[in-house]
Amino acid sequence: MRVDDLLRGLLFRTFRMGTVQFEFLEGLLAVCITGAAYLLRTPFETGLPHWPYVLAEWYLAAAAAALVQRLTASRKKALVTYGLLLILPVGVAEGTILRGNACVGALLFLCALLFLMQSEKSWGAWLFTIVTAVLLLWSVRYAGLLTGCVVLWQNRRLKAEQLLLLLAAGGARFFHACRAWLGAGYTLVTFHWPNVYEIVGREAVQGQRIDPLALVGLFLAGGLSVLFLYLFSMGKPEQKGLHLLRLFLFCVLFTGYVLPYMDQSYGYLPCVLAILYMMTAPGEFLTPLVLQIVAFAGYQECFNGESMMPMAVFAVLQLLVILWLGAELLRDAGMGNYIWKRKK
Amino acid sequence: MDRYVRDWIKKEVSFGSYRIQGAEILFLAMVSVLAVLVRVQVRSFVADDWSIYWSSWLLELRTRGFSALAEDFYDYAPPVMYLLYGITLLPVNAMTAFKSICCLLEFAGAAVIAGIVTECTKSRKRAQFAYGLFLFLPTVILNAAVWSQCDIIYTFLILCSVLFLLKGKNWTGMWFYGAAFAVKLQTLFIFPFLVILWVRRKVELKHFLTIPVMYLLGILPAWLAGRPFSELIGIYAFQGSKDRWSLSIKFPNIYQVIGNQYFLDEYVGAGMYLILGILMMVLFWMAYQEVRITKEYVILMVVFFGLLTTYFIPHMHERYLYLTDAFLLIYVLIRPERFGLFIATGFLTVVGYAEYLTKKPPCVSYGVLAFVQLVILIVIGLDLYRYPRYEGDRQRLDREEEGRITDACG
Repeated sequence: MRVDDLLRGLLFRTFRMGTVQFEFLEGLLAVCITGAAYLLRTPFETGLPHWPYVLAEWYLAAAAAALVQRLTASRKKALVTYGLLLILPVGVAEGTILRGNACVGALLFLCALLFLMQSEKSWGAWLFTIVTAVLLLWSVRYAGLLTGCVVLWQNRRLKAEQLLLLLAAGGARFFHACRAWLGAGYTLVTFHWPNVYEIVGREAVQGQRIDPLALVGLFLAGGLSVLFLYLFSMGKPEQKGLHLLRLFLFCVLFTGYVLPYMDQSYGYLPCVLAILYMMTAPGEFLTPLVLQIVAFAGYQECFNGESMMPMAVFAVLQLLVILWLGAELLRDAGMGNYIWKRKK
Repeated sequence: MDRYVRDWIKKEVSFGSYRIQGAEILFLAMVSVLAVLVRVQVRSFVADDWSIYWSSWLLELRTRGFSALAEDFYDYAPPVMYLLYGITLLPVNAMTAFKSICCLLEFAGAAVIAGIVTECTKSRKRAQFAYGLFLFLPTVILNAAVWSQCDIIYTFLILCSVLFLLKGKNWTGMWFYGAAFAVKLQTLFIFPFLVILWVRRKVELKHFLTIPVMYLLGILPAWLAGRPFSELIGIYAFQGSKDRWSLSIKFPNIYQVIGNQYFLDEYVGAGMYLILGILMMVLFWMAYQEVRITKEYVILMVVFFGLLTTYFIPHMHERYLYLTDAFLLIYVLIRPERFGLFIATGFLTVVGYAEYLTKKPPCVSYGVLAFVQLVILIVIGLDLYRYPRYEGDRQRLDREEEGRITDACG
């Protein structure tokens, strides 16, 4: 047999290791992309990359691949998800350059989603609840997930006691954060996160105990969440796979868009969710692409002290993504038809 | 007289197997004459690159002869230096001679482009249009005739390479590719398309031997002149480390969005590993894509990889889309509905040229241009992604058309 045919045959030959079956090319990509992802982090380090962050990011990529495999039953899509998350610029910026822990938060939430999708039985929902509650208690940047959880309760994926636990965790963290924010005397309303404040002006109002702009933002986040829940309660949305990802992506994004005092790390979870979203709905590739640009713009402003382009541009881009996702969600819930019929 | 002229315009003349109308000869002649005239008019412009680099290299070669190649005063590939050495032997102005050689190659390149378009579309009209359009591309005129750059050399070789690959003459095609690599490292931008051709049984591993062979042949005379072999082997690595002062040199890519003056050392390594990772995944996906490798698909791959790699690799110069522009021209003539992309790319690349030549900042920021470039990359990427469906639809339409013709005749 000729060398060419031998090599080509090898590329697509199927191997079996225990219960795992894979083609040589898939294995090759998995090994090479892991190596490339490791090397991608080395220029920013004086020695070897800091292993806890590399390990956490690897776990995140593996968890995301598992989730995509579950949702799409496609090994190749799972592998591409794994690769994309390993070389995600936002991942390098957060874990390697900033030594931030947003990766752990994203990993916890993906685990929570895996638990929720693992089983229709109550233990899956309970595990989801506990992990998400931990996440909500940990940082206020995950407050947006609460809205998604309420929608899950509306659609009987969560029980009232589970929702109450989540609301308590989220509420406690939110209350604590608000107290800290309002007395902190920050000079900015957003810290490198391109949201609505980059459009209306990110300088905080000085000389007052409570910054009115931030206060309006806080109430706006709450009010918009309630409004969204009201809209959603009128429809009958599907709560599986793709729709669930879309729901949480939207909730996280729209909350972060109006919440004051968010920083660049806020973009990490949406970026990860957007990759998963694209892999389950390949036509939606623009969403992760735009979010990646928006989030990385925040990181680069944080590192460099200035942005190459006005941050308002990125804020507008993000707004477009939020509007697009919102419209898709309403369409999922059959709200488009509902509103149209009423109008008629 | 009038009837004679009209008859001549419609009359077909044969050149071997090639048949051409009088009007077409007239068009080609007029385009060629105008293209020569514009180049003659701008020939005396002296760009900084000429006065700083090329002229000093020529002086070195003129005073010390061929043995000067033993020194490390040049960072271009040795074959370009042989060309310069040849120019020093001519009894004409060196800059005019250099520009003339490059301009001649532009005409040859335009002819090869016309050949590729004919190969892909079987349309003589489109091929002639491609010939004229390439010669009047602002970046093509500015590159050699004004700026004294020689991007046409490797572009011409790659155009020949692709033409022969499309004709199924793999050895010839790959020899040309090897020659292009011996001239410029930028040839590697489009290398992944050859990997896909190998996976799809269009070329064999043995054909890839032409790349190191041509490279070694290219450096052999310089080695004989006395330059150490280790230096000659690593000349491209030295080129890469030269432009450390900016991540993007007037080129609208990702670094114009994230900041081209920060993390200068870190982003160089990271950018290379990032594009490596991206290419791995793109190649993985393409290896599994259920698609028939058509001539159009090959051109599309070249355009896509040309755009993708330059968007992420650091230290890109404004001239590095020259090759992609040439293939984009071919692509839009195969798919005229994409003509807007060609105009947009032409505009994007000329901004950097204009800034270099006029030394005035552009009216539009490079960040905005980088976004436009991203849109172009996405559209081409989508074309590649949707190609199997597009090809299927086209085949179905062709069958329906054939059926209609058969019915009409029957």
